[in-house]
Amino acid sequence: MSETIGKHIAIYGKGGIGKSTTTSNISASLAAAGYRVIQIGCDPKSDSTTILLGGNDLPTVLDTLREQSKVRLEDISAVGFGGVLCIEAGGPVPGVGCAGRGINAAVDLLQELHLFEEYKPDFVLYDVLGDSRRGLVVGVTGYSRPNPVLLPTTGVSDMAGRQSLVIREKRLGAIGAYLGEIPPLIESFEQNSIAQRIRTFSQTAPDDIVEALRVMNRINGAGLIIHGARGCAAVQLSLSPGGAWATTNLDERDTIMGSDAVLRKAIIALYSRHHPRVIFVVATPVVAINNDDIRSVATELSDELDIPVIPVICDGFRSRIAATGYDAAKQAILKSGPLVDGEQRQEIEQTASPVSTVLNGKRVYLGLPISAAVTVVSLVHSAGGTIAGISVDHIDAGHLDDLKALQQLQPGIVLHVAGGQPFEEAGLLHRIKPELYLGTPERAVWAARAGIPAVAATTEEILKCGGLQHLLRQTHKALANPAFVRRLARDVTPPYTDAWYRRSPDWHIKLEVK
Amino acid sequence: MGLPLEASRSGCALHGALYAALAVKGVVPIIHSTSGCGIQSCLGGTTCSGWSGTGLIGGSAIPSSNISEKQVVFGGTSRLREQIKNTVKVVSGDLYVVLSGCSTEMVGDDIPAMVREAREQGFPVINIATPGFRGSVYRGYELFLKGIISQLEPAVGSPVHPIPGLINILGIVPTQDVFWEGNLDEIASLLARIDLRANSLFGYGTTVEGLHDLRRAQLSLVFSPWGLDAARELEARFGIPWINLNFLPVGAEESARLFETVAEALILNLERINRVNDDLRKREGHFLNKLADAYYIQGWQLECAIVADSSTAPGIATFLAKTLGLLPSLVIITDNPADQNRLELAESVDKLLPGFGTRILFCEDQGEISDALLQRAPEIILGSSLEQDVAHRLHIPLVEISFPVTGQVELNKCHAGLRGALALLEDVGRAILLSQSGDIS
Repeated sequence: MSETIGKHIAIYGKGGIGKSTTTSNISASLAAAGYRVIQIGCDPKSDSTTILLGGNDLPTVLDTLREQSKVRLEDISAVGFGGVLCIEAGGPVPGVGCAGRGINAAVDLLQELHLFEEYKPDFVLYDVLGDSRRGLVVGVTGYSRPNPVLLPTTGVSDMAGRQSLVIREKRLGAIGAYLGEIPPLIESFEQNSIAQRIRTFSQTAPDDIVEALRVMNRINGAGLIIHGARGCAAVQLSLSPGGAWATTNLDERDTIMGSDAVLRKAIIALYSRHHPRVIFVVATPVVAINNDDIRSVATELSDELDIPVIPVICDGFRSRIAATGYDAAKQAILKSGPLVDGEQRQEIEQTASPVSTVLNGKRVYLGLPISAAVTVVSLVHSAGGTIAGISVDHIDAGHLDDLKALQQLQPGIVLHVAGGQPFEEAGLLHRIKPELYLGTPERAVWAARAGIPAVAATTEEILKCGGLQHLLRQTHKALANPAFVRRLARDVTPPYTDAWYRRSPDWHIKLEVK
Repeated sequence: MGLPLEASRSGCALHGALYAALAVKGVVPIIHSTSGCGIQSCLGGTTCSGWSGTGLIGGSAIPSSNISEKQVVFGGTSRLREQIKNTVKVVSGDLYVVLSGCSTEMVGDDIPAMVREAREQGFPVINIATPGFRGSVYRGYELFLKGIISQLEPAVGSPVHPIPGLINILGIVPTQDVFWEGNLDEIASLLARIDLRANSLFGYGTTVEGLHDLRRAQLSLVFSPWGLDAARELEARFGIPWINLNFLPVGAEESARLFETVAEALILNLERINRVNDDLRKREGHFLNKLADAYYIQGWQLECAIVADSSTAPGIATFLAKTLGLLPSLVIITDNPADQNRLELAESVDKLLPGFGTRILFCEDQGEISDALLQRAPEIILGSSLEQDVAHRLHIPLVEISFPVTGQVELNKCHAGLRGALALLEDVGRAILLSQSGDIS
């Protein structure tokens, strides 16, 4: 949120000390003085606005979210005394789920509904229960203070000490699970009615943190703090073993008491040793669930160290599309100003497809990002082959042209959308039995284990100048001597049950019910 | 409060438990956490362990509930129930182990209840709480073994009596010890020479049966502080005695010490032991003689620094100092062992070369490790890929003996026993030659 609409005031304290009464009275007085007022109750008891509503209860945002996927402002708000717009965030059943995170989800929804832009309040009052073990109050005030505190705030997103990032599912209608022909997808993107699908069985897959780190490591002269438990920094050993990076290595105590102090310490230590031009702090599930206040620490240290210290808003769970992390990285880089040139996006050189007949009549399966897939489909066709199917990580509205191109190149082509999930591809390959697999190294290895001659190439390798010639050469070799895949397949006992191979590969993909 | 770590060389507890689970055929881990946890264990773990692949249910194939915001807000138990129910349908396995991550532990999901439910339906499922904030990979290995020992019930009617000559091997952490599979093999073949059978638990040829047999062994041998918990637990529950060898033996002398210790505990025929030891020493002597020319041509008598965890560093330091005549100036232990274990490790380092002033440092932070190395300026480093920069700056050879190893592919090499000592010598020689050819060009 760039511009804050209205003055935001949070009133925070433990239960039973008169928060709701005080808040309601302030709201009523402001309304009586002619101001437009919203009161938002952030207490699992959900009775903050009862006084203003003359004793009536209001359905909470969280309950409504749980029950229906599309929530309208009318469903969750009511006009109370003096015209005050009343909303109850609600909370989870005690002992289940995370109260603080719940309030956050509610606040996110209010932003999505453009509550403040539409309603244009002069004042927004939050009535916040302060004895929840974790939650946004921790981010606002530090760990549990016993007395009521009045907190003038600058905006909803500030309250949680974080900036919001619109996840790919919402911004571009990104889809991470699908199996079928392409036209229905084109139609749903064109009509902007994308149905989200989820999996009832899943395998581990990259998240926004992994993707953000891939980008952040390419920035010269930057220091990186991975703010979380140490495992969230593991991938750094692959991406940048010798780089300037550290993990705050949060322990159990930090998950309860907050992690501002250890973050400070980590930033200062990294700065003293490496003197980076900018430090990025990558958030992880632990700090996201606790709403630990990264931004205040970052702002303070930016001043103290006189270099930009910039949070990268990741959490590992809000988006099922790993590329959301790429957006988080981009947002952080933009904030770092002219110090960072940004990652240089390579101009994709379109080289004419080289001539070959190496694939004469062969059925080829592709496991590539969709942009590379379009190029390779043409190559496969020109070498005499046909496409037996395509697996891609995700698709979103930005891929509409690619989808149309694919459909035009080979009508009826089957598209499989999955970040990882080799069990689905195992099922697909078992049915389709392609004669060649052409994909990223991570995907190609699974085909090889299934005994299918495989060619591995990254998107960069394919799209760079001369990439297609290289691909053809590798294809030729893979078909000329498949000894390794044959030997591999001989000793491999399939890891999946016979029952699974008999099932439709999209058996575990279901439409999401909120 | 957590201690910030620069370039941490160990992932989290979840990763350690995962590496252990994936090292036993038939064990299927089910991660209950966010989707990235398993991927991190692969990209930042197995890949950095000599480029070892992750097997058929490793890497991107690890079953994982991939919880999203909905589960964080409303709880993730029903998602876990669904994931367990479908995992047993899709992935063949003999034992399913639910490993929880930070997010689900913070949210407070009642994971044991879900697992109990699956067990009541007849599926072999257990759960181990392994959130990353509990500690490092080493802690995860401990938690895995503890979970197995306390939860794995023998099948009804299966034998429970002790198996004579069966020895539990504890403390060698899969993946985090880059040479774990080779090391376990070598310990097993050493024990086989005195007619004992190793229960290696992990690596080629092991199954869930090995985990069941933990309670049927005659003795447990512990090769690092990270095996002590399990050894004590096995003693308390099943009366199995244990010996703490502190670290992996390297070379004939340390292997002989292993034999003598075991022989004493099990009252074995000493004559037999002596014959085996004699053979080991003769073999070692033969190959050292083969090395001698190179030793003097290439200048092997170097001041060395060793950077590795507590199972690896002391054994290699001992072999280099006592057999090869190298001078250990600095030993850095990187796995943050408990205080009482530090004392024993420090003692073994003090004994390496009395009077030489070998310094021992317990440290996980790459910044401090680099500083200590630069300040001590050894003539050769035996450490990890993370020491490349320092070795380069000091213009000295680097032998990669500890995690992470990214500069070479490792499949079944070992650094334990006699076979490991010889492999180590070959690696040291290659590093010295490489650095000398660098000097010329």
